[in-house]
Amino acid sequence: MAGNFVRLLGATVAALLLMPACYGTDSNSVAPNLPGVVITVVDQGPALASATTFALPDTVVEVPLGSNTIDHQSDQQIVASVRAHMTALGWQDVGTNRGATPDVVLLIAANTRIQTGVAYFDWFGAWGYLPYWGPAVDGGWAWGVPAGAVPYAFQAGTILITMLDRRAEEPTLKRIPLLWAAGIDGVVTNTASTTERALAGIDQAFAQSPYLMKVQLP
Amino acid sequence: MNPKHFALGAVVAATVAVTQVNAAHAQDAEPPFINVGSYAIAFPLGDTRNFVPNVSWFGANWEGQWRYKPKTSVGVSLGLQDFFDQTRGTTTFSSGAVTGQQSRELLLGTIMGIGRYYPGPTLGRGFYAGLGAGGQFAQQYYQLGVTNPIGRSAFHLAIAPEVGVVTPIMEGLDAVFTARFTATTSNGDYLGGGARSFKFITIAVGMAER
Repeated sequence: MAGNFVRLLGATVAALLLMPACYGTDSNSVAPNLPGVVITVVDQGPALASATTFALPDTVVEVPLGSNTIDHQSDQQIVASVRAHMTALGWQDVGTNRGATPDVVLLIAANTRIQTGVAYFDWFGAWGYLPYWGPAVDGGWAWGVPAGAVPYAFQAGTILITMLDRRAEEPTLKRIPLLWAAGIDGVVTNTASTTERALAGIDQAFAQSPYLMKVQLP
Repeated sequence: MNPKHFALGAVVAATVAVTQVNAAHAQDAEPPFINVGSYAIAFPLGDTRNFVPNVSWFGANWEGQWRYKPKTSVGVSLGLQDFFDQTRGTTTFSSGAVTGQQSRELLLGTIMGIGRYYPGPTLGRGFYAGLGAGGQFAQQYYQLGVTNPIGRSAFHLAIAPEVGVVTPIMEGLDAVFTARFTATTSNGDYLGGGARSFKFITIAVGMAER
């Protein structure tokens, strides 16, 4: 009886303690200050290949509009980082003049709620209408998501960067083609590390998007 | 340890322990029925390896065998194998890329009818070769960051040739060592799109109650 008990105890300890310990966590190649998830989607069609100029408004829009829960101290650094990455990749900045005619428009938002996918209707309300398209493009419009993009539920605290094709609006469908988008999840918090984490996430978003490159780096 | 892992661990422990405890009361002759519980590790192959490249250290099998002919037994086999992988890096897809913590899990449950041939003088002892045929239920999970896991599942037909050896260690109790290759039909609509066939090789160590 005692022997059976010892065997039973031994088998139980082995099963419950030893086996779960065999699971490993593979942590590699990601900077420790990187936010939770950086996800990018792209439409690698001819529209992206032919685009060379961009416009980037100096505004980080809050989604939902007017939530006033985001500290905008990081806005200038975030916009500057995106602009620096684009120019470093060989894109030409046409400035912030709304009369300009860039090939693509980059819009940046900070999201304070869970949001699925890459359609952020609150952006229309932020500007009254989307810049560079004019009043004809109102809140009834949306942007098309690249084929194959996986819907993803962004958590509260996300920076969203969207590259929209200004040349190819589709009035019948009320749709603007989306060429590239990045979601940097787990960034927008009240902690002092917000800026650092946001910039690290933006670096990663561009690093994992080599198809944006317009020049050959030495 | 999540509840599923705890439950699987408990099944393994209970299977091994009950087999051992009952063995003390069993007979050591050629029995009409053999009860086998085993712990199994598994090596992923094919689509299994594509989804989770790691060896699975978390598996359990139970088998019941009945004497059919002097050198042949038939029976039923139930198995559960859990493949798990957690990474923090960049994964590139055709339409983009993801960087961050990603968890992948593949839970494979099999139920098979199984026949074994023992060339030695005693049924249920020594070297054996067997073949199982039945079904496999596959449950696939993928989690990105802290979002809810995405799951897919399907049922597959399965076939499993095997070899093994059974050696007595005390009265009424044998040690069993088994190597089994499990192949399945391609079926389902799994993550990434399309059907999959989850193959793997199992190495199991267990106890047989005679």
